[in-house]
Amino acid sequence: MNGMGFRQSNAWLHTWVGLLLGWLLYAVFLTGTLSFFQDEISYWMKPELHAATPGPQSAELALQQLQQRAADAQLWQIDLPDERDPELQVQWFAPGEHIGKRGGERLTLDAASGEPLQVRETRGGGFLYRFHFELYAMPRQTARWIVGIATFVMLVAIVSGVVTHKKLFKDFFTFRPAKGQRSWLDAHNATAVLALPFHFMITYSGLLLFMFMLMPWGVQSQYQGNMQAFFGELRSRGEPMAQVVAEPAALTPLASLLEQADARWERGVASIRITRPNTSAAQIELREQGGDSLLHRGGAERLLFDGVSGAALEQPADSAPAVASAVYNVFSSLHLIRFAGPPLRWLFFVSGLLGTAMIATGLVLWVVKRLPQRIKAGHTPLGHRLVEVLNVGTIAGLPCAIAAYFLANRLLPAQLSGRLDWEINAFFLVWALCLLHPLLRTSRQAWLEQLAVGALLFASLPLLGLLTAHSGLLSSFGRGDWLLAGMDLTLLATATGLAFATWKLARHQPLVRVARPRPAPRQKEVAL
Amino acid sequence: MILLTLLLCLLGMACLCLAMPRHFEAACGGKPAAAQGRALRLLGWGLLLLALWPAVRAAGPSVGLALWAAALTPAAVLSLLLLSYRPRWLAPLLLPLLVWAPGAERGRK
Repeated sequence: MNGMGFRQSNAWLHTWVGLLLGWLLYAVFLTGTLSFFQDEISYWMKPELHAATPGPQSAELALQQLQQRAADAQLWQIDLPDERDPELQVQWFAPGEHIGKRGGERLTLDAASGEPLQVRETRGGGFLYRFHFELYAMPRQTARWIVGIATFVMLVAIVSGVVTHKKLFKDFFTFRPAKGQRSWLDAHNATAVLALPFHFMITYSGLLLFMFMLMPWGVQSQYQGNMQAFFGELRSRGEPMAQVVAEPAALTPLASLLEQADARWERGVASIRITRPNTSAAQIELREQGGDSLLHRGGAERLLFDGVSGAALEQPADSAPAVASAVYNVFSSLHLIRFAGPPLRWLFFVSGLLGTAMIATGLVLWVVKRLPQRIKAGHTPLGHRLVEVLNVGTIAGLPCAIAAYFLANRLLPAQLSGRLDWEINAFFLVWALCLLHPLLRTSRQAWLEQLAVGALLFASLPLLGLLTAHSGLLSSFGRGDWLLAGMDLTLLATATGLAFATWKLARHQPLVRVARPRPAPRQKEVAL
Repeated sequence: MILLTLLLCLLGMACLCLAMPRHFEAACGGKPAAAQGRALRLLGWGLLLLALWPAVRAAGPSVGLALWAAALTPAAVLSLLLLSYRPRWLAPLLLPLLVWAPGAERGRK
């Protein structure tokens, strides 16, 4: 870039790097922002759970089921309902089975009665979460490289954007509406600058998380390829289960152990793990509900008891993390916010939406900035048209696709075989349609139609809920189920936002000045 | 507690906003005196720092700090929206402050 000043070359970098990966970054940012509420979305997508209100008996009920179904298992795990995820789940591993995150048998129980529930098959919020760093239907490692590189580019775009921005502090609170290109630039600047610490943090921490996934060589050479040992050391994990000789013995009652734990932990117990149940070697481990320090990655405390006598065993020591892992912990736990209560989650959600808006306004700005040039030339270059089509299909199309994913969850029959895949197919089908649709319409029409369809789709979701017995807004308000009501209200708010955008655009008169007045300049250009 | 943090952040951002002559004119109709600008800037930064206290008290040092930093964004966004669409509302927003800290703001009309 000879002959360009430092700021110009940064502007050039920002424009082209941003354009090239803007659409992917938009998708990553939007689905990632929704992932802050991953558990809440999953709960919303399992209407079978909505009828039961968890009571204090959950642990006992779960234990009864495990005794009935898997008395001889080598490990029982009970995940108790909590504020974000009111699902009561049990899991057990048959004798000799390898113990890992996957495997074993799982069962969802009615938190009120303890009876097994037939929950519809769905990936829930997990699909959006996985999509935001692994995309879909692609080798996991390849997808992670793609998103990892995009994340790096995002960091480049943030830094070059700050350099390019001439009056960062002078224009800090500036937004000048209804001024065409000026307004788009102001909106792009404001969404970037006002949440800049968040954008930097989320991008940098995302990059750190990818670093461990994609470039583990440093760690591998140090730990001779034993990544498990590295992460074990990082998180102080226990050892795998050893073989022990043990006789049959009755399990100690859980109630008094839970009482001890509840007295110690403000947030209560998250899960119960019983190793070698019904034997003399049984041990009961209680795990705390989320930690409160960023340094420990939201790590929770554990209490260990003898499974027969109920005596407290030695607890794993609470070690201070080393500096390197403390830095990694702070950034990764800020990204994952497993520790956070509703206020911080909502604040991050708002900043995440601003980030999504920043990318969207940047992409639109690229087109708007080149409009005068297009009119002067009298035709639309193919590249401009392509950007326009991709803009509509991604910025308006992805929200439509997400709404379709939720809609499929409610409309597909609960017993349909492969319904899990069909929910995801609905997402991609609608997205593909949204990418094709702007090819057949003028840019303005395409925007209008997709925004309107998005508003209708999002509005239909809470309305459909009203037809169901337990999942509608009326019944969730009645029960005080704020998780469910919050999701429905957010869907309504999204519908309102999209409807407002449609209305604004429908009234909008383009600001482009041309020699003779034209009724709708944008339509003409495309026709040319 | 988190509401207090949000409120203090909003007031702080509104002060910083008014401390800039261009925005002061849009919100209050006149040019600010140099001393007024300085006082508003000082008050703004002071309020932002003060907002840290309820957050840390409610959630501990590390999460509290994250909470505070995250609360700055919606406060700034709200100030910006007010300034763009309802600039006249900004100054009355600070009225409770006038009662609270009479010394700091005397002389503003």
